[in-house]
Amino acid sequence: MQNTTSVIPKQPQSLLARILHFFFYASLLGILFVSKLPSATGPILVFKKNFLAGAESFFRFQDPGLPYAIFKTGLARTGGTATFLTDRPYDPKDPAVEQLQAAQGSLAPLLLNPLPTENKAFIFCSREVIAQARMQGTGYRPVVILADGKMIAEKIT
Amino acid sequence: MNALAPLLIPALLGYFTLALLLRRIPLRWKPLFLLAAAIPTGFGICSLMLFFSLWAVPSKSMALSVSSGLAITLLLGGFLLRQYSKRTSPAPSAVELIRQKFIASMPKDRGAILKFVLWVISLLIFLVTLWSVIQFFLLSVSTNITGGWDARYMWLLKAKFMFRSPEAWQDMFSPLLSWSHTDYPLLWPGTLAWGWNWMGQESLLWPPWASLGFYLSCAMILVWYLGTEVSPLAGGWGGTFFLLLIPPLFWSIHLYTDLPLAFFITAATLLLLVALRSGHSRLFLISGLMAGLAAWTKNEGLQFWGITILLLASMKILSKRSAPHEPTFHLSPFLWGSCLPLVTVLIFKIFFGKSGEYLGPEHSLGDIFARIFSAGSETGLILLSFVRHCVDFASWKGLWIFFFTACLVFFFKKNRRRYTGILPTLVALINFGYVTAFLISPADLNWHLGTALERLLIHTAPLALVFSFEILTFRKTAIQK
Repeated sequence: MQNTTSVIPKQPQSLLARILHFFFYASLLGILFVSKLPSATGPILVFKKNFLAGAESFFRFQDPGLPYAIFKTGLARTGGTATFLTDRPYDPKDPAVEQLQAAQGSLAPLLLNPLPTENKAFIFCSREVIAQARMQGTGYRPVVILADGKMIAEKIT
Repeated sequence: MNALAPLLIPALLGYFTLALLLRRIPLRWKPLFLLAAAIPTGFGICSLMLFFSLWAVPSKSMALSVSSGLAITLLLGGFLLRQYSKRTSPAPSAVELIRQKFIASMPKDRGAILKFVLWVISLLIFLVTLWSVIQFFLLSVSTNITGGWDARYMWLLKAKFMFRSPEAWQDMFSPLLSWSHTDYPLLWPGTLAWGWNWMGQESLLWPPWASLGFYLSCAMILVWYLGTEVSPLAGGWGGTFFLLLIPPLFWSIHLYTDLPLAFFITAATLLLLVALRSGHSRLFLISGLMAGLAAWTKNEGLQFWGITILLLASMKILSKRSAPHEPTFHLSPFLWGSCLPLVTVLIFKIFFGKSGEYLGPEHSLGDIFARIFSAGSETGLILLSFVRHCVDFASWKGLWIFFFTACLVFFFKKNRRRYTGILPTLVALINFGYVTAFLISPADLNWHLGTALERLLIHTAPLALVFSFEILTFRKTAIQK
């Protein structure tokens, strides 16, 4: 049976080609010897063990959306939109914008709007005083208090 | 190990599809090729099925995509089995076949024995490196299970829309999610959502297994190509060298889509080379499928597809001009192969992911050209960044130095192997495309270079590696048909 799709190149034949051929593989061998992966020991191995065991719940704490799960109560499964307010007004260049992105990951398919235009708002501030000030400034009143600075609010009409 | 279960159907589906397309094609080391390409191909098909299910029947998409995947796998598997059992001549058993091949491959003289020993050593080195890298992958990924920024807030977010609310999945294209690149295609999110559908839960453990699948496939496809087209020794060493490269491993651990794209670019190009050298039209077809799946993975894949088609068309025109009466290759199998994924990308771009950062009503072609031609200092900065990355030994282990040396050798080489020039041409054109993208990017250039350049180099790194091995092993080009 024909067993080839193309003709394989032959071995190097001239002396120079043989030397360069050898030099190439010798370089690779050298690279292999100087290449090292960081070693890991101790408690870090517990993570791998749990990963291989499929212990899903062990890894939940790594989910950046976990703190925002408090808003999940009563969420519709078919989307909708809500305002999401944090300590500072929205600025796409502010590193704190990652809070919005993590919350969006946790609360999807509900869409989070960083601007105070929706009827419903999720307030996620570090303290109650800041949350009150943010709500006053944007025209919301609290409906459900979930934790210190964390609440569900509605637009004052 | 429940999170490993969703690998089964894509792996079988990809394997059966490729085995069917490769029937009666005498591809060297075919089982290794099938093993290398099965999982990514299966992921591609499953993500396409999920996309069409969501588009056509959102409320039933979960059941439809999983059951159709299962049904097609069973159908293809049954068909192949039937074909196999239909053989009229009694085929030798698998054990007998392996025994015969083993005896035939036994070295007969001293030179051959030395080559055989070197090959066994290179294979052992590859396997030991593979084992260490897999252990490192599992360890690292388990300490950061949700991956890097893009993985968390872009790819996983899209998958969550597909899985959590099939009726509202199109909300993923909302302008409120402007950071999530709404115009990016859906192979990777579709793969993740398909796995979650199979498991019936949103597992944090499934994305790392899927990412590892792509990483290992990429290493194996290099072993397959170099082992069959350069030498078995080059196969072992090429695979090992790839495993030593830090950026592909790092970004796979962080669950980015750059390695999946690199896999499809590599598979498409390597199959294209084999197809051009052997003339088998079905190899062009599979190459086209891989190029189409590259376009379904990332926008950069669409650029790769365009470049490849232009390159093939130019080659065809040039060969027609130089030898008008000589038969040349046909473009149509390649186009047919990429048809399904490419049409899906078109549907996606027309109806769903319409907005883009680079092209759109707010960025006219005139503006783009003006930016390109008035950006001397920016071009300098981009090229300097490319050079800095390429000479970073800690990351790339000298790969790009090998590549540029190979380019020099290739330039002066008299007896060149047919079509090898495609490799550096693609590497150059793809990266030229990226330079242009940096120039017209609305993002801050320094920030963009810092966050994206290393990942973009991953796309062409396997091709650079293959080219280095093809040239720097200085093997004498055999007389071609």
